[in-house]
Amino acid sequence: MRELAKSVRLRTYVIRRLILAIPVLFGVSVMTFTLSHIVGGPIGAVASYVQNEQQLHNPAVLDLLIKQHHLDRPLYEQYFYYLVELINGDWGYSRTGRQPVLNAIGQYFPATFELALVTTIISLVVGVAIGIVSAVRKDRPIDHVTRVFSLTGVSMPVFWLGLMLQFMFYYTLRISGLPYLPSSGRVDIFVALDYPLQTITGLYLLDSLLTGNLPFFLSSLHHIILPSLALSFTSLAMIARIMRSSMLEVMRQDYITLARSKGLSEKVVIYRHALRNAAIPTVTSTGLMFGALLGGATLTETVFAWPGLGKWATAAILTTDIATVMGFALIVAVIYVTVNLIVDLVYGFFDPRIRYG
Amino acid sequence: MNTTNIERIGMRAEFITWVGNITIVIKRGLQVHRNNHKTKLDSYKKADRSRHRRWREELEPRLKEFRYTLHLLKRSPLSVAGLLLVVSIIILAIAAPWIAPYGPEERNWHATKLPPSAEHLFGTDSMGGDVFSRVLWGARLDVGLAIMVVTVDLLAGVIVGGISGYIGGKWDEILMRVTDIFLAFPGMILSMAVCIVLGKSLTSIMIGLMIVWWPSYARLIRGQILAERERLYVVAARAAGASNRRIVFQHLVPNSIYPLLVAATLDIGNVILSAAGLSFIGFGAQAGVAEWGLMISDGRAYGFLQGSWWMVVFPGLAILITALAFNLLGDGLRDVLDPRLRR
Repeated sequence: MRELAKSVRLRTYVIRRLILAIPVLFGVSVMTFTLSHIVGGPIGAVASYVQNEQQLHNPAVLDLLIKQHHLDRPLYEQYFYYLVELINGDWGYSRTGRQPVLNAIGQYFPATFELALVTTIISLVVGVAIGIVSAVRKDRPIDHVTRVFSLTGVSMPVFWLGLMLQFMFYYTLRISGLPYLPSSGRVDIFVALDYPLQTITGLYLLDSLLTGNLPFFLSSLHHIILPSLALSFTSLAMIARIMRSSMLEVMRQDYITLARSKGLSEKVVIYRHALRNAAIPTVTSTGLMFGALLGGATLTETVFAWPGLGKWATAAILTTDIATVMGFALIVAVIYVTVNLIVDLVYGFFDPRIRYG
Repeated sequence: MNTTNIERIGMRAEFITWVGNITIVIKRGLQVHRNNHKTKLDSYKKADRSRHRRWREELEPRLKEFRYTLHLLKRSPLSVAGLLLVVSIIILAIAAPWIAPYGPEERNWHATKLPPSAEHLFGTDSMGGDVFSRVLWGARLDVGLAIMVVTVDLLAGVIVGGISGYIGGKWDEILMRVTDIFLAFPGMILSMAVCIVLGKSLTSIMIGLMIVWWPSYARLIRGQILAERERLYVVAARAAGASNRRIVFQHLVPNSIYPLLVAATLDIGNVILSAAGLSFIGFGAQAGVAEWGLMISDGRAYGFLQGSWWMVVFPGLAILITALAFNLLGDGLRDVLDPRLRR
């Protein structure tokens, strides 16, 4: 009975959260609409639907597109049509991706997802370990070292770290004639030609494993090492910081003192009692971080020529490809809202005290 | 001062006693002067002294707290390191015109891509600019920009968050939904869009970052005010008949400002990182301006992966150290100012 009541409460909570997300997404669409009118330049929002440079300077085509997308109507009507088109899946045409925006997102998203996933796994494992060590040995030398390390991570210009890694593991190793790591791309083009990948999910590592394509797997593994290292440095530092402070917070609680005075070993106290409670803020921030990474690590993807959302959007904005930019902004907002919801739900899983009232 | 001392220190002690005598003379003179006017000034002075005492009584706990804060800060070596770094970076930035051996955009076409040497400490870039001087000049741009952004956003945050938190109701709902939208919108892309609209320049980056950053301050100060509003001392002040304005400015703001200062210190580092990132991608100033992100992107474009590491390493280190300095300081301040961790 109680289980049932809980699941009903959970469902109403999810529904309420989804309803609450609507105004946010609505607001973001207003913002993209406004921006596309401002950024679109002299020809305005119609730039979102133009397919190439020739069309951009062809008045006949522009007129046709304006009619087609109701851009000659008053602004509020334009916005209404814009919304209808968004819901129908017409997000404009990405000149950078040479395809409709939604298709392009479908193409670039897996690359970003893969990078985000590997990065999150690395930073979660290392970050939590560092955080625990730092908290348990508070104010000892190791704590100071890890604190400086995690502060360095937060202060690190990621694009610069990426360049440094490229210099060390690509340039230096290569000129010394040692085996080196690739500096850009997702997979070696020759490997991709010799052992073509059968796409299932779009995640190269997973697909190549599933289809038993070992050369492809190794090549994509090589390619993901440097960008994921560069990215995870910052996020593992953040995780370590949060883990440290929540561990310290928990270690001050009465039940820890109780556990200790019961005569439990320090190991049990830390891993059984403290860690589980300290994990909650870490779960939240890891989730949010993962969401942020899914939104495309613009700088890292640009440095490593990683064909993901971030690089696509950066290239687009430098050429004022407005449809791509707005599509990117919308998808990031959708990801943000979704990830927030999932994180809140996971929260309840970790902490049974939380009720979805 | 006893005689043995005077013998030992000789001249210096004589000088000291001489100064001491003069002070005594001056003090006596003033006393005489004061005594002469005693009757006239008496009433004034009484009022003045009592006001002064009241001031002191009011300020005393604050001063004590401040001294205690300094004491705590001094105890944490990392924060001291941060403080020293921040101060020295700011001094270097201010003194750049006198320290830097070359101008920010000075070129020497006969000395391009030279590795670090005594003549050029950090080497020269692809256009023959001295990297050391350019890094120094860059501090003015990057740190100045970050301080501007954070200050403006802090003010905006206090205004919006204050209205939202204290007035509440409909205004709170509207303002918070607006911040939701800003927070859901990818910050980098928003700043980039602003840069595109305003034209690529450092000023656009600054405005772009300001537009992206204010909502987090608004949320922070709102949360602070909401949390403090129901505290006993506020209830007591309200019960004692204090006006709204007095409650906000005498009680709420001083008690909520510390977390905001911590956030601002930490954010200066973040703003520097974002600004450098934006100008690295190509939204910054025109080519050739001594700005750290741009220097890195120039270095990357002209020979970094062919071995000219110094064009990229030094500006990057400058960004890292500056951001680290502000983060160290902010982190230390947070530990020191957090009332729960304080005592």
